[in-house]
Amino acid sequence: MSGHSAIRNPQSAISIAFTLNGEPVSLGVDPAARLLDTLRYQLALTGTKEGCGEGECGACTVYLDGLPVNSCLVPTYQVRGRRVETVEFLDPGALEPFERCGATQCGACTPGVVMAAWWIREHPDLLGTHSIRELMAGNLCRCTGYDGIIDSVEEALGERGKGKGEG
Amino acid sequence: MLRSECLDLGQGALQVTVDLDDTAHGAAVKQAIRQWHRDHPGEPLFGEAAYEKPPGIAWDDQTYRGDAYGAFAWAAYVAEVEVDLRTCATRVIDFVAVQEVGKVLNPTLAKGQVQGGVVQGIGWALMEECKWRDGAMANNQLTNYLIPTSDDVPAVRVAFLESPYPHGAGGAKGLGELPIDGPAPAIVNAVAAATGADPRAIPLTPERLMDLLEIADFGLRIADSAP
Repeated sequence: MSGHSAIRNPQSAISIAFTLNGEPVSLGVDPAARLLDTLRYQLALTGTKEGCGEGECGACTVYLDGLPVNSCLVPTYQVRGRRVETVEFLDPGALEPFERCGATQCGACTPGVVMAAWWIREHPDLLGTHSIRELMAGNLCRCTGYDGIIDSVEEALGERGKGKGEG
Repeated sequence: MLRSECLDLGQGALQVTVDLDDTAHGAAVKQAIRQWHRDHPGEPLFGEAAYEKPPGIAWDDQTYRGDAYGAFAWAAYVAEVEVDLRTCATRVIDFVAVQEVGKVLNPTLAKGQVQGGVVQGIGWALMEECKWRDGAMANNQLTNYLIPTSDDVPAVRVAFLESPYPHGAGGAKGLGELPIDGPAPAIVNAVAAATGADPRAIPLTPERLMDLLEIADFGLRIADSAP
């Protein structure tokens, strides 16, 4: 889709520095590179997946300055001086409820789903105004029918039964 | 019934038949192979295995008649819907899926398979429509080919009525495509029952339902004005 962030014209490369998963990073990027491709193909962080490539599906969710964003829509040069966290930054234990509750079938949406779920966990006040089903609606899943995902988010939150319905 | 058949191509056939519910896990086959090697030291043994359909299941490929599959699973689906008569948007607010798939081998995955299939079926029933232009899909993006999000669907309630099937591995039947077949008829029938519309095509998008309801409303007015 994007030429995988190869620097097409070395003279046009942009040097940027940012914080990635807690560590400082500096590298040269193509001005048109998407953060998604920079992460996957320049920095070998392949946990972040490309789904639709147009900001609909949430598979490529990363945190930018602590906010979940679709990395397919972020030009890499825009993260200059900012803070990026990817799914690799999460504690591997974060995945445990997802494995147990059947939140994963093909797995393509899972990294993005886990990022969104963890963000909800870090911001439990959101549950005062939104259901888990509403908060997870930015992450499309084709396999599970969402029930396994909702169940595991509830498990991860340690408050079962707060969703719109029970499976 | 799984027939395991070992053939010695040089010196005559060695044949063992094993039932799928064989509790010895093929010990008879292993024993026969060991015995064969004792009788024919140093010689290669070639083998093959084949699945035999259960008795009474037959398919005629010439006339295309009969039962093509060795195991049929069954299911019943109930959809509860809300139709907004102003926007003609349909929302599934409850869904119950009951199926008989022989023995359930992995309860978590089997339930997930049904929930996933039902949600695809909800999409198929209400929103997913391939538009074709010059032999290619015109709306091949998630921007214009919508699939359900977690907020578009209810929790899918799943129940299994287990009845171990003697001709399936471990008593199981297939559960791959089963759950996508029933939701659209259940949902469309629910919309028909709720609105009096008579949908003949899916996806039953708001645009399509609006056309039908205008016709239904018109028919109602004709009926009201009849002497």
